Amino acid sequence: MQTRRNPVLLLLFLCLFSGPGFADSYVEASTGWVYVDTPSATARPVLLDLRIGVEHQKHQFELALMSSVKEDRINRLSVETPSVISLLWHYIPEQQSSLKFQTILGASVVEVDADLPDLGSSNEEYYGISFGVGFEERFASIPQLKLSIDLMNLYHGDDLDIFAATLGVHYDF
Amino acid sequence: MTSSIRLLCVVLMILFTYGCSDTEREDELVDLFTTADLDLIAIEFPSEIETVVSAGSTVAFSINGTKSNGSDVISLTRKAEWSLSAGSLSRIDQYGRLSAATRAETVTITARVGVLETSIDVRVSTAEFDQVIALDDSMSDLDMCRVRTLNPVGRYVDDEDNEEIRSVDNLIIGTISWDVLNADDRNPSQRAYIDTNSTQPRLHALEVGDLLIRATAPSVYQGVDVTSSDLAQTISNNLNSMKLCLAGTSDLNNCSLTSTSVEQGQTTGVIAVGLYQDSVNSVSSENISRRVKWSSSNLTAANLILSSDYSSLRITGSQADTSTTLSAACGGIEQSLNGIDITEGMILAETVSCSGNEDCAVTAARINIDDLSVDSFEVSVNDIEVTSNSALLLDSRPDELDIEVVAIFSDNSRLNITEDSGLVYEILPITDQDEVIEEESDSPGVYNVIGVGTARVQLDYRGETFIVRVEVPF
Repeated sequence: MQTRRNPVLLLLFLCLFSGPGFADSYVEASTGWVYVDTPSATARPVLLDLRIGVEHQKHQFELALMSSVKEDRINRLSVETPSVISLLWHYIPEQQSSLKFQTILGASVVEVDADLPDLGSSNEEYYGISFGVGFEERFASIPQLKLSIDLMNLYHGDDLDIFAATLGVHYDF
Repeated sequence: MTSSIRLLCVVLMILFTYGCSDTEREDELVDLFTTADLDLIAIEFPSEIETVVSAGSTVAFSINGTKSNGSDVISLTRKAEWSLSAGSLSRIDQYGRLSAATRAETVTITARVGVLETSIDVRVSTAEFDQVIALDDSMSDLDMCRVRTLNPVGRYVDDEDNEEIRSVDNLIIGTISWDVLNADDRNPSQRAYIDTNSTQPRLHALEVGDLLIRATAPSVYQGVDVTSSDLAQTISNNLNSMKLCLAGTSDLNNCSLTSTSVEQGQTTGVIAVGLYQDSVNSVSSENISRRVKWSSSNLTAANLILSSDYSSLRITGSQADTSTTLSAACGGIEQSLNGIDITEGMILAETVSCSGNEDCAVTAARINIDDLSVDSFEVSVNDIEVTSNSALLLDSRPDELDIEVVAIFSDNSRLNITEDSGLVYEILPITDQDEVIEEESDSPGVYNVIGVGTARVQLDYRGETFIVRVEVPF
């Protein structure tokens, strides 16, 4: 089931680009943390986040590809997130301020890799609704460039929650 | 494609994703986190665990974990997930307490912490209790003034007259009555006693010597009360030293007390701490208040009583401006304990001493009994309440000022001290002003008004000061 999801999600994503009325595209590069949170402990690998998307009026639709670049450790346990693939919709309501607040809704596949020497390891992908908030501020000197902060819950399970907090730059073509 | 349809694509993505949630695949990761957070490499049942239990009894099982350094061991009993093999009639709760079935069976108890798991087979036996045959499965000498929990060992007999030797179960243990005798003369001993107020009996050692202990319990097998044979126990002296500390101290290694004060009518607590040489390089401190002999050199100065849990001595000041020397002794003291119930703590009417006995240690502290301190005053002048050093403005010039003083003490009691000899009145002069008042002899607190201006009187009582200030008009 899991291995067939990714192509379907990508296909749905490509639908977003088809047809008339389609507007500006953009790319975004960020860094941040992904929080893998369980009842007993939380791991925080550092991640790199690359996104491509399209913007139309108050909406942004994007594909985000994240990967941890630095693992985190809980005593002898190493934790990393080799890949996070998210399809996200940002809604940006009308605002007077230059700092734009956004709501974020989408879906994510988060791969978590954990290894406890001599005792066990886990490599699983977790699929779930993602939601969160974001902020964007345009650079006055370079109008195409924005500073972007996103705070998202990527996965919410029974005993496992995965969050992401990213800070990066957004470039409009 | 319109925004609406694009939005629909997003919703479909979400539903597609959410419809196939993966909560069942979280367990392995969550277990790894649990194990890592505790830094464990292994879990195991203690070596002394009982693997045969009586039918219908309740037995508490425990589990320990070894940390990654290979040497530190922690208790995991409350963190473990406990389970029994399928089909068991017995039950086990989340704290590892097994309620054994009333029929014979063999169950496998499994404890799991994170990714670590261990199991043990336990047999529920319907063999009947016969008698106590040992105080504990590993008896060794007990140091004087220390306490040990006993795990008595019993003889059980099944339907086929097969014998089982194992720990006495919780159904029987509360029914055992104990006799503690001196080994030399077989008289009831004052060297130790056994208290049965908690779930397991506890042996309290008071003095060096050899004991014979007998346990009498109703034998289910024989149907009568059966007394054990004499069970030997030695009380030895490994006490390095003793000291006194204030009650409530958590750092027993570093506390000390040579003197303290308590106000008349107020109570303070003191504990006796024993320092024991456990091994060549290890000294441990222990609260031994329950097992030492206490005394006060001045019986009228303070009242002594042990706290309800025997963990400290409560000292209540009786007579102010007196003092007493509080003594505590462990071991064979010179004084007699006749008439004293050693199980309720020992407070002697005469001062305890060791008189050169090398198996005895004594320590002491001075207790001063102070007057009850004053928190505040309520003062009125001519029936008008005043505040310290705050001027009372009179409408007209009176013939006299009549000061009334009530002291509020630290125990919230009140007393009119206007005429108390301990209250000192002093007229405070004002620079460049003639006297406004003069004291009326033999009438404390009463002043004749002889002038106009500011009158100030200082009141001093048990370290507290109040200044009365009155503006006398023309």
